[in-house]
Amino acid sequence: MIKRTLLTFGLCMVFDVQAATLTGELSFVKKPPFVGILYAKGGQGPKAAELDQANKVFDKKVVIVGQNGEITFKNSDEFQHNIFANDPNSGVKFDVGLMNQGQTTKIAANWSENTLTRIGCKIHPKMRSYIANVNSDAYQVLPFTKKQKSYSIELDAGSATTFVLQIPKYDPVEVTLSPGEVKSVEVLYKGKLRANLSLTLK
Amino acid sequence: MKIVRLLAVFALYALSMQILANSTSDLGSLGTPDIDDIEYPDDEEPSERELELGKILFFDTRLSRHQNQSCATCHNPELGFSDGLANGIGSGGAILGRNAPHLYNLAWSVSFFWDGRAGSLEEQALGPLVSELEMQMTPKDVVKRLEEVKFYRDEFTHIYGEISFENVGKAIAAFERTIVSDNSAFDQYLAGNKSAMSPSAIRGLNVFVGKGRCTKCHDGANFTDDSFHNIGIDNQDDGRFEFDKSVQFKGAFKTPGLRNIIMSAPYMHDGSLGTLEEVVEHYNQGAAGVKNVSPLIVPLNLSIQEKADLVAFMAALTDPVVVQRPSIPK
Repeated sequence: MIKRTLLTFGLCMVFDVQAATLTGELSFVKKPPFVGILYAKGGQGPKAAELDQANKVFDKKVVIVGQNGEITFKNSDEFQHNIFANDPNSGVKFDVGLMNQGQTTKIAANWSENTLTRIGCKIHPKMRSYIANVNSDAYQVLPFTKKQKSYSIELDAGSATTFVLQIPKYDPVEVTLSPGEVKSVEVLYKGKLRANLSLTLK
Repeated sequence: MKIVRLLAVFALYALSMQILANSTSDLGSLGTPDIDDIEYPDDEEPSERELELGKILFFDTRLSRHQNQSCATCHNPELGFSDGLANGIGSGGAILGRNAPHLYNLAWSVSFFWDGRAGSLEEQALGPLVSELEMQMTPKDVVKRLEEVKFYRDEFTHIYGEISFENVGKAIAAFERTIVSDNSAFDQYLAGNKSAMSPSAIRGLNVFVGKGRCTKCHDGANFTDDSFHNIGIDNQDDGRFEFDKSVQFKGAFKTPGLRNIIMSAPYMHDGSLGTLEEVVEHYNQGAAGVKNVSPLIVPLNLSIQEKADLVAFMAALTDPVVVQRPSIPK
């Protein structure tokens, strides 16, 4: 009985150590951009991801995939689409060709890890999304809207202590925290303050 | 007999009300443009001083080789930011290959020129200046001309640090982003004023989103998908295909926004159709037999009434943008 109690207590302690939670807030000083992703460093990232198109928009603002993972593009729209990337920031280029309604196509995300690549449709230039190629098993997508300036962070961080915030065109932010520690950092765009990020690891 | 007649009148009234009631349903992404959705370069809104500089440059004929044309020559505010001609005329008198498009609500756009070859308004603004047929300048000529004017020296230095060709594009684009039309009868109708649009325009809206298939391309708050389509105007112009060899772009041109469209005749990329009635009739016919025409273009079988209603609806998209012409600095 004592053994069992000790074992249970030990397991609880282990669980407690591994179940760290990252909380915080990201507050923009002006209109927020399109999307962001906050992730814990370490891990593999998803092996597969899917992105669909309907009503001339992508169904996700960002799709997350680990290095060498596979992305499936679908076209559920009544319109033809042609997904491509030609992103000078990540160096990623591809063109999946014309996709009719109901068609799917796959690509391998076999480019540099921890990159954020803009993708679009050659036929509908207003369509945009991003592929976040990150080696992480704990991440939070932040789909910003123009009307909302503050966003809550809540991430099951496991045993991770280093976290990265990536926003297209913004300077990436990397924060390392000890358990219980609180940190605030500035988020910059071309050297100018655009947001404040406060994080706590509990 | 009287009762039967009364019932018939009532039934007709109920039917017409049903038609009107349907008018606000299924509008898809049509709406009123939201200023908050404008994406400025580097997320920085321009200063009043930058806007004023851009406006003056827009009207200054110094930017053309023979000093006889400004941006406003082909994009005349009094002519719906177009020029009323089928094809524009360059500074040296050359007839241009395409119709001058209007400039309304380009602040929300992401590709520019009929063939979409410019990815920003800044890039677009500079294109005609150095076109061999249009304003016939070089970047060096532009900077040299502006440096001779104290006003420009002072303003460029204050706003950007120096006069440069690139900064000329920034200023003109900043001004062009202020050409916003967002309070048409249609917008008032959407906002709840159900008498803002005539019954004909309301019926036209229903045709626009339904049988007329117009929103297949003219959707969104500015009535454009910013996409490229071959709509069956057969004039040997390859359009978008010149910059992207994908087969669907052969003879394809950018979908123009329809706000204030009644003010910028003639229509189509070659200015070949003089009135909106002709445009509607073109789509009604469906461009059958034209090579490479988009599969979205099919015969519509619209009645005379439906065609008239469509034109009435497009007229309800009118909200003129008045621009006071500035004094040009000596």
